[in-house]
Amino acid sequence: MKIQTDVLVIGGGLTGAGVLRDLALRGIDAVLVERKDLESGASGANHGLLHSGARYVVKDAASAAECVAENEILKKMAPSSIEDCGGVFVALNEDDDQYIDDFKKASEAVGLPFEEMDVAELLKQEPMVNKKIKAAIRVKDGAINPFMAGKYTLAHAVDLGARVLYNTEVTSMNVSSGTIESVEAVMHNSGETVDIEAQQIINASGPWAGKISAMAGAEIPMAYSKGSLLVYNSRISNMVINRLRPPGDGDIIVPGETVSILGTTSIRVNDPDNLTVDARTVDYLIDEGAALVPSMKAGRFIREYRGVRPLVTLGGDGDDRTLSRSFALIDHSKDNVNNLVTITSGKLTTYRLMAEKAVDIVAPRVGNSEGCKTAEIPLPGDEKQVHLNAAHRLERIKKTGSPAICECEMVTTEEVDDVINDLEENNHGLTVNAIRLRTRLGMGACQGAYCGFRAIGHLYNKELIEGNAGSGMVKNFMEKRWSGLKPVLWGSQLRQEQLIEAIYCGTFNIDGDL
Amino acid sequence: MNSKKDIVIIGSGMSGLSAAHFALEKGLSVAVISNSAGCMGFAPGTLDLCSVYPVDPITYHDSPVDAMKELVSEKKFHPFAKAGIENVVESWKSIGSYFSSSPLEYTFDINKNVHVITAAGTLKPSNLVSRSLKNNSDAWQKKKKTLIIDIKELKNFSSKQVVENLKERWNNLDAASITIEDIIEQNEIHILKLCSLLEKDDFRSSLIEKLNEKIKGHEALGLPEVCGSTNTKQVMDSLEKELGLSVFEIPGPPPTGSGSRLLQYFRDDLITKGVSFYPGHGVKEVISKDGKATLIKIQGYSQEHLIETDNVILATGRFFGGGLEAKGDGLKETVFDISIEAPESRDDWHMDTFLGAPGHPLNSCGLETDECFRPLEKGAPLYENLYAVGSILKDQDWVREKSGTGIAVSTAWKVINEIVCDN
Repeated sequence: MKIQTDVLVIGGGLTGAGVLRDLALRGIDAVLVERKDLESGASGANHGLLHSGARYVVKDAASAAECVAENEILKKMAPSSIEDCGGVFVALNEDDDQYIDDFKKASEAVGLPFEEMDVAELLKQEPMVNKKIKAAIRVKDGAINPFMAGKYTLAHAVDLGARVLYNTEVTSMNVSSGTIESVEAVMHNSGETVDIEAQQIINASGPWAGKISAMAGAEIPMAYSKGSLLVYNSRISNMVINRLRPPGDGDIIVPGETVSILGTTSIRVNDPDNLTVDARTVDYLIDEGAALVPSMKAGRFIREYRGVRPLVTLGGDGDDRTLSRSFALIDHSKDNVNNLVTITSGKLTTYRLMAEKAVDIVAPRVGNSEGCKTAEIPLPGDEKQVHLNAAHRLERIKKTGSPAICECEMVTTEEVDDVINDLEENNHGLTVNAIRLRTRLGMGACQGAYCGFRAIGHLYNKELIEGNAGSGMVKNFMEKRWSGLKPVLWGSQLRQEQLIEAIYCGTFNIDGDL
Repeated sequence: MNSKKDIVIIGSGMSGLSAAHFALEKGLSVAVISNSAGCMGFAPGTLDLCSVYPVDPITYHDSPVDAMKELVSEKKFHPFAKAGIENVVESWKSIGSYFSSSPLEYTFDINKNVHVITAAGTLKPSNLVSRSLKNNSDAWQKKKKTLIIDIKELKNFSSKQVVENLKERWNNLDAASITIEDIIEQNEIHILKLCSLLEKDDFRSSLIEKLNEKIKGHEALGLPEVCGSTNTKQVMDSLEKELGLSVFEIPGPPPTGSGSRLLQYFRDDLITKGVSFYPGHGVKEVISKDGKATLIKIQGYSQEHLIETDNVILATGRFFGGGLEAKGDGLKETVFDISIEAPESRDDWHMDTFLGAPGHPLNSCGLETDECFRPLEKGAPLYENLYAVGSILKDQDWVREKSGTGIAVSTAWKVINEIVCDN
């Protein structure tokens, strides 16, 4: 297959999605290729924190300032994906007073809005927080659902005429006299090769940016910092809870709809693929998190997940969190490749800005002089343009009469049908995982034991799958969920796993082949 | 309030209730204490003796006795090995004939496993099965011209899913769907509610009318597990008579119709026969004398009881049943706080695949016992008169061996016989 376009975007994380939408809004013809699926890299493996900038303010004023601005813009532009829950930084009694002063001074210097809170007042609002605290500072953190943001961003770009190819991995680039003439990719669903001719190429492949640019002969010095995160069974706080000390392990708890996310660790790895975690890391993370919210120690974690921060290095050692978390925008003309721009590193919160800056370089090269529109045109999303929490979703079930397929996350049959139609229209290939990424199905306490099975039944009812394809799908889905379930199997979540195993192996005998 | 019993059984799953049943048969007095409803309603009413050995690679046996013989020849500490195959066989025949005479109409051939089709469209091997599940396995075995019907308002069951998965091997199989929204006036119904509705004549007649429109030209009809809650014989008789074909049920995820009604029948029957039941009660304190647990203090919602006893049987199940608890750093038994060995690092508790062979190391952890199934603490029985039965025992993996009921029943049988012999 051959594709011609003005701009090729490589990578379907939030940055790539933002780039595609930015191009489409400027009227530039563009195609995006993604190796796997929605947010399958760093965009889907982070806290889901909409930074206020406070986390970086002491060490990295530039990043903090970017966050301050983007935080305000995104709350207006992507309201369906964002819960404006606010955040607080708390200093435990043993924490360093100097850092509290530095934090306030740095915030003032950057223009980062903050408000000192009375400790008693905070504990009234957030009763699960450790009582042994001496300071609390309120900031404008929020919670962002990267899957929803990605879904709506790409959907809007597609509405505007852009094309998206999932499960399509770039394998090589054909470079001639400093120009990438064509990019070859393989479509994993069909095994078919696709040859893409584009005037300009934007490399938004996150941790894989160095591997992609190397195909054109351009080196990017990259480092990978692995972070593990844990999903706590319930929403343990209203606000984002941060530790008021230099950024470290297990010092942030972000509410994510019905659950809480505890993060994170930072460990250098050599390969952004095949990430693993061990019990010791999980225990360590919980011990650190319990310093902020003590009841976490004995509570129930429903899964672990991990990702890598893509960092562009200049050869320094030290903690990767001290490297600038601002983004890296590289025009590879300097490497004698005249039509490749890389945009990587950075943060979820600055994805829109990163996209804007990358497209600003590329747009004139394809003869486009329209300015960036993503700070003015809001993202279409749910009908109400507001964040739908679980209670809203429950209300919707009552109102529409559409039964829930996933009861942990209250995902309705209607919602699943919308996603299925969308996947079908785009020849995406139907998997339970693809439905999960777009609806939250299977992300709750049962980890897909019931709703995964139900989703397959639903696909059979709609005659979208036949033969024993569904059994393979359900096995794949359960195995995919396993990598994050295994690290948290003790206490209540072990009981859950034993039920799942009893159903799938005991009742269904799906482990065998009779 | 005080009482005196020959045996106090802690736990009301298959192993605890089987122990109570065998004890009654020996003329012993029994109290059953149960913190929860027990796990039988989470499993289908297919009662497995043993189907798989070795577990890696998975090897199915037609005869459970053959499977067990191979298993105990290699696994000397497996509960089947400790109970002894002849005891396993005796116990199975005994419980089998007991369930056969119930309204659930169980049947079995100890030398031959049956294959039951499931809601996932897979085949599950089992041995002791109710009438409706026997019809299921007969329809499959004889490849009868069969119609599977699902009910739109009932979750977790799609007839197309069952049929599509099996059609390559069963070309006489068709799928259909009905709606009962006009009868129940709601768009969703719980499976156990539907079970009890089927026992009502007018509801059943309306349902039969709907089924009759679909079944033309078929010899057998497969339904989700909805055929009654206590009086399943009457429901089955009525459906088969009115529809004029063989009716069977297809097990799905919990709660299960077939497991729930088995639990209800079993428990009610034991109560009728004189077992003292203490539902919603946990063990608060065990008082011992001369190395024996002699007084059990139990705690309900608001009341305490003191039961004097000669013997105690621990039948509390594993993690799901609550007999074992895993903290982040190790395992323990929950009632007597008995130590349980587990791989030192939690990283080694489970395999890197969920469904792969041979099964998760943690699943073979459990109570270490002597030959008489008395739990050991530091190498010696914790109490001279304390026994453990069922899935809490170590050196077995019932979920992979498909041996859950077999282990529950045979260890209960063995322990009751020990107790009788000692007396």
